[in-house]
Amino acid sequence: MRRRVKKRFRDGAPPVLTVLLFLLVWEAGVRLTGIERWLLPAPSGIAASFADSWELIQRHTWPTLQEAVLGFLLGIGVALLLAVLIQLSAWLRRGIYPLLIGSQTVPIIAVAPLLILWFGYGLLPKVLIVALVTFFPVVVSTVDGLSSADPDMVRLLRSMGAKEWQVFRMVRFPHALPSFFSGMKIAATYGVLGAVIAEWLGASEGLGVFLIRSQNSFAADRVFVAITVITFWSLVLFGLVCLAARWAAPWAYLRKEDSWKGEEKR
Amino acid sequence: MKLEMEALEQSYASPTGERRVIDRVDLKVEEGEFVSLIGPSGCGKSTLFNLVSGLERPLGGRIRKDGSDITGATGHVSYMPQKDCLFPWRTVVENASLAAEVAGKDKKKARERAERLLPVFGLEDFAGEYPARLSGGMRQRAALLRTVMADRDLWLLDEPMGALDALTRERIQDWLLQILSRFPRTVLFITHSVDEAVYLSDRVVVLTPRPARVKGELSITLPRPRTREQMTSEAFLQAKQWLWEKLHEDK
Ligand SMILES: Nc1ncnc2c1ncn2[C@@H]1O[C@H](COP(=O)(O)OP(=O)(O)OP(=O)(O)O)[C@@H](O)[C@H]1O
Ligand SMILES: [Mg+2]
Repeated sequence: MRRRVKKRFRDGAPPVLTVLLFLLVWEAGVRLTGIERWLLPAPSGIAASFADSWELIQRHTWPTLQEAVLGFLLGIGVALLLAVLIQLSAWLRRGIYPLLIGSQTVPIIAVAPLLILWFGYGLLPKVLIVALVTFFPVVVSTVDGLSSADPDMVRLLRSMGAKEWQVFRMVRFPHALPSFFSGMKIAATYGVLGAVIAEWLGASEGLGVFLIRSQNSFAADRVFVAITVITFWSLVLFGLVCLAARWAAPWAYLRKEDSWKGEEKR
Repeated sequence: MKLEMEALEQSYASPTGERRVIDRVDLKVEEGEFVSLIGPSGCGKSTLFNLVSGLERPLGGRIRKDGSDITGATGHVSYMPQKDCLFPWRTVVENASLAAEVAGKDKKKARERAERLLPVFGLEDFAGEYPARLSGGMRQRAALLRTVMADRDLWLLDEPMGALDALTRERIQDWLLQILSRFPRTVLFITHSVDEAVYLSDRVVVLTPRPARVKGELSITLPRPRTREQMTSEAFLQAKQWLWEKLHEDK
């Protein structure tokens, strides 16, 4: 236990220290050079602005989070479905994969106006845009995981007379879990960002709107506040995915040294 | 006849053309018999097991179990592959109950049975551990337990004790003999140890280098139950001698 705390400290101290140092240098730099507040506010100024606009921020955060989480979940659902289809049929693999890659080369900025034309300015087009940016890394990594299952394990199961769906459930699926979650980690970092970009293209509330308004009124401090909030929630989403991964596939995080129960007794 | 292999043939494609691995192997195994296969590394022993377990279809020949044709059909044998193939996402007990789960049997009962058998394999403290936390020898014992739990009357064991230390090896050998005397099974056993083959078997079959053919076979007439003392007996040493010479013939 004690060792764990120590390890936490050892792993956690460097990033915390570097961030603190960075803020300190920033603060000092702004004060010494006397740079204009609307160009580059000092961290203390940003903090003050954070406190001032607290309620405003909350009002704008909620819709963005909603879009991000819903879009993320939708993206993952679609990704899982596609991954399974691609794994099950070589025909679909050849049919879907190029389309998938293609979908990623189309810039979101170009698709978004279409979605807004079709679905209006509500929640739906934003959720779709987030889904569009998050599903791709999940599909690719899940397909990778599903198809890289140990063929010897598959053979063992077959020798027991297992059916194809049992092989899928007992070997391919659990084997793919860690890759699925790595895809999800990448997707999690895109989620909030995707929602913000979607809001730029047409919305009445959300962090994206808050950003644009801050920019229009030359409130650089508020832009930084928005950046901080976006980063914070992206990290929270990322952390949640990490927790889910540990919960769903604890075995993937085992290392012998961690709790090695000593050499064999006999 | 428990198991009959008739003119089995298998080849694989290789960069230099077709590579023949099994070349007209005929082998009959009686009910309750323990037959060991020995032969040089890479001669095709594991391939033979792949054929019998139905994982691969032979190019030629037939396999019959209890008189019915099982060529290319899976689910008729308890197969222990050379690699332990433990599933990293299953605990020891869950790995052991794999076959029961595949067959759609009661999971809880299977786990209880696995737990009862754990002490025999020296795994009683590791029931809920994931394979990543086991040593090499423990992994192999867990794989052996899984094979036992699969509950078929024909066992194919591919070097089940290859990774065990000498002491555990002897313990598991004796345990295997004891289990077999209580619950007779027909066993096909691959090993590289002539000692082990003689100690355990009713019959030892020597295979040629690739492509595998039956080069010779020897019935081991040592009385059962087998004891460690027999290992120094005249008959035991003679059997060893014969097998050793057969293995190294015309090299
Ligand atoms: N799926 C396959 N495709 C191509 N070649 C194969 C395949 N499986 C086995 N072989 C070849 O068949 C030969 C026999 O392999 P096998 O695994 O049966 O040997 P073995 O007798 O079990 O050897 P060992 O004692 O080292 O385990 C080898 O030369 C191997 O390269
Ligand atoms: Mg082999």
